[in-house]
Amino acid sequence: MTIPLVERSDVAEHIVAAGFRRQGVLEGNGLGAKKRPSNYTVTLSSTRFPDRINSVSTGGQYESDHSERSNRGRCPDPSRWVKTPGICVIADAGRDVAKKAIQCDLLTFVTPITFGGYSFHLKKAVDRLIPLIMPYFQFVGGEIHHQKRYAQYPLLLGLGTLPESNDAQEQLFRMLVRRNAINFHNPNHAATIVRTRHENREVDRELKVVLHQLEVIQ
Amino acid sequence: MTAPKHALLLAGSPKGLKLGSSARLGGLLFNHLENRGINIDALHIHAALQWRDPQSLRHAATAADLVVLATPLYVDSLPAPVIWGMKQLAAEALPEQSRTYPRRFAVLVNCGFPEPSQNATCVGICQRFAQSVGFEWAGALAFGAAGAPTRRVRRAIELAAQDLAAGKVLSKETCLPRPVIPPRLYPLTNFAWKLQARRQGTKENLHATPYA
Repeated sequence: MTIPLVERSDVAEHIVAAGFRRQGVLEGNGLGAKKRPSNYTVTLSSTRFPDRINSVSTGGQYESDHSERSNRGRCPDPSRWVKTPGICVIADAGRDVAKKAIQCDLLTFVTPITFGGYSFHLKKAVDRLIPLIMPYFQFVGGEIHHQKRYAQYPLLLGLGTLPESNDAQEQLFRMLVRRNAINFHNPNHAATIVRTRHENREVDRELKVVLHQLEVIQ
Repeated sequence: MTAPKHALLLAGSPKGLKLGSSARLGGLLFNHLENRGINIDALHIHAALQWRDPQSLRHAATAADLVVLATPLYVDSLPAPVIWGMKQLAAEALPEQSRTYPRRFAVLVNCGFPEPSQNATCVGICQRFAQSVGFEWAGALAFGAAGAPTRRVRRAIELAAQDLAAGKVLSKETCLPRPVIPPRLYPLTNFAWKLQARRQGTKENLHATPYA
């Protein structure tokens, strides 16, 4: 089954799985990968939020890709983990999602909060990240999780949008980002929620708080 | 409390209605419901998505007064196609005033970790969905260890079927049964991955880092 990661008809949903390359601060902190390429990004149907993140964090770069052809994916079956180690068994452009996600410094999930979780389109991309970890198990924080595959993982930022305040959904969204950060071994993570009606300056204010929390900006 | 007459099993695993742990456990639950005189039906959400057929999903859900989603945990949440299915149902939330009995929604979720508690985020999302669509929340059955059908798991399913058939919310004991395998022993199961890799001829590069 082939599921397009982004459909042009869904531009109303602000779906982004964006990888940002930071110059300066991150590398100064030793968090940046030294030999990584300088442009990233993955899947988006709205440029508003990555634009803001890029603007606030200064110096980052990302590329957007609206091409449905290059963003096709299918639902993976983790039990086939060992067939092509480290690479999704489904040989399509969805493999790029994992590649770009591990090669960036700040992995950002931007999504309309959907029942407290990620939207369908973002989740398609997130489901393709499974090859970034090993099938083997180990204890992490008193729980069983999968072992690391790579020495280094990006920071994780979850940016959820909601039309209005909803405590239960916001709490669940933050919990989901936190749980993802445990499973993907992200060295640090943060989650924030903005209202869809917010002006750019309000979005920037929220972003500054979380990017500071992640030490992306000082 | 109203006993259901027609129950729908929504299979959330990409493996379909027959294969996969969640579908197998869901099938077990529905066998118990059928034995209690409830009409049962099943639908594979991935197939509905593949055929771009949200109507089949909506029709099936409309006809049922108990909907049970049986799904694996994917990255702390539901598989993407299940979220698509939920959005389709939410898009046409059924007018509650047109119904004379409540429609109920329960979830059966299993994860590959030993601790059933790792399903909590997924269960929370399902609960929010039920609220959004106007379903009455009937509770969750959460299993770890890839849904290994141990005696305790089968007993939990049997108790859940009793509750659901009687129109009750699942009891807390049923919701989060204890791990069927002690977590401290779970890393010992790594040998199973090694065995699979050997069969696939990939044992030597199981630690590959292709994108480093």
